[in-house]
Amino acid sequence: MKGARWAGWALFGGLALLLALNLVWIARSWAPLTTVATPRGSAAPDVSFALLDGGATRVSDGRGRAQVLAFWATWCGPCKTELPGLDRLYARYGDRARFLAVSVDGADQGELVRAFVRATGLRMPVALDSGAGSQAYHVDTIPQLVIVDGEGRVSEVFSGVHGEGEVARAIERALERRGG
Amino acid sequence: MNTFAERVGGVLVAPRRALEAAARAPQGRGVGDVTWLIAARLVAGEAPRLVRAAARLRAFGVGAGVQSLASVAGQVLPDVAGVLIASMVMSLFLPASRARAGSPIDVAAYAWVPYLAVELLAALAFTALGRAPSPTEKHVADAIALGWALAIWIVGLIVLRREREAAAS
Repeated sequence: MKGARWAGWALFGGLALLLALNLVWIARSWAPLTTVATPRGSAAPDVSFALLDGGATRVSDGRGRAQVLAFWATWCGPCKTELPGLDRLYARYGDRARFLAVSVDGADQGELVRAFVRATGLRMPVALDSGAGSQAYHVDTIPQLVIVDGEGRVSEVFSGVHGEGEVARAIERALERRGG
Repeated sequence: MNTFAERVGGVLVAPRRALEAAARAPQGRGVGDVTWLIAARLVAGEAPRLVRAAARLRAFGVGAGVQSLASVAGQVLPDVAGVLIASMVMSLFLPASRARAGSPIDVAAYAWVPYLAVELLAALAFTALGRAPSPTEKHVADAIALGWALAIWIVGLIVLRREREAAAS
C-alpha cells in the first residue's frame, strides 16, 4: 500500500503548497486585503459622483456639513430594505446633513436607477458611481454607509443593514463634531 | 488502508481495493475523512478570503464578520451537496436488503477525492503560471474532475452492491 500512502501524502502536500502560496500572496497584499473600509477619523476621499438629475458633485462640496454616503444597487435586496429608513432620516436631518444615495449599478445605468427611484419614491439625492467612489471607500459589500463629519473626516462606517436608530445616533454624533 | 493518507490515496491509485475497505470500515469513516479534506481545502484555497472576512469582523463587528465567513464557507457548499446527492443516488441503486453492509454516504464521499485532486492540481498550476484559468480551461478541469469522480462513484456502487449481496446470501 506504498502507492496509496504516497498518493495520500501527495494530496496533503498539494494542499499545504496551495496554503503556502496563498500565505505568500496574503503577506504581499496585506494592506489592500485587510483594508475593508475607510478608517474612522481619516479624511474622506474627495471623489466625484454624477448626479442622477444631472451635473456632478464632489464629497468636498459638502464640507461644513455632516454627510451620509449610502452605497447601494438596484439588485441588492438588503439595500432595498435599508433605503426607506434612510429616506426617513433624510426627511429628519436633510436640513442639517447632506445625504447622497450612491448607486454602484454602473455609470451607464441611469435609466435603471431612475426607474427604481420612481418606483420606490426615494426622495434623497441619488448619484451614480463610476467605480471610483466604491474603490476609494473600499466598498466591496453593499449596503455600506459612510458618515462624514463637517470637517471632512470619516465619522462612522456601516456595512450591511443597520437600524434607523443606530444610523440616527451616528448622524447626531457627526453633527455634534461639526459643533452644533 | 489503515492510515488517513492510505485511505484517501488509495482512492486515487487503487480505487477498487480502497472502496472495498471503505465498505467494510466502521460507519462514518468515509464522511469523517472527507470532512477533514473539505475543511483543509477551505483553509488552503480560501485563505485570502478568510483573512478579508476577519478584517471585516474587526472593522464592522460580529454581524458583518459572520456574514463574510458564511460566504466563504459557502464555497464548499457545492462539494458537500455533491457528496450528499451522490450518496442518495447510490442508495437508489443498491439492493433492498436487511443486511446493511457498507454505508453509501461513506463510499460516495470518497468519490469526491479525485475531484479534489484535479481541482487542486489545476489551482496549483494556474498559481504557478500566475494567471487565472480561462473559461475553457476551467471547464476542461471541471470535466476531468467530475469524470474521474463519476468513475470512482461507479466503482463504489459496484463494490457496495457486491458487499450487500454477499452479506444477504
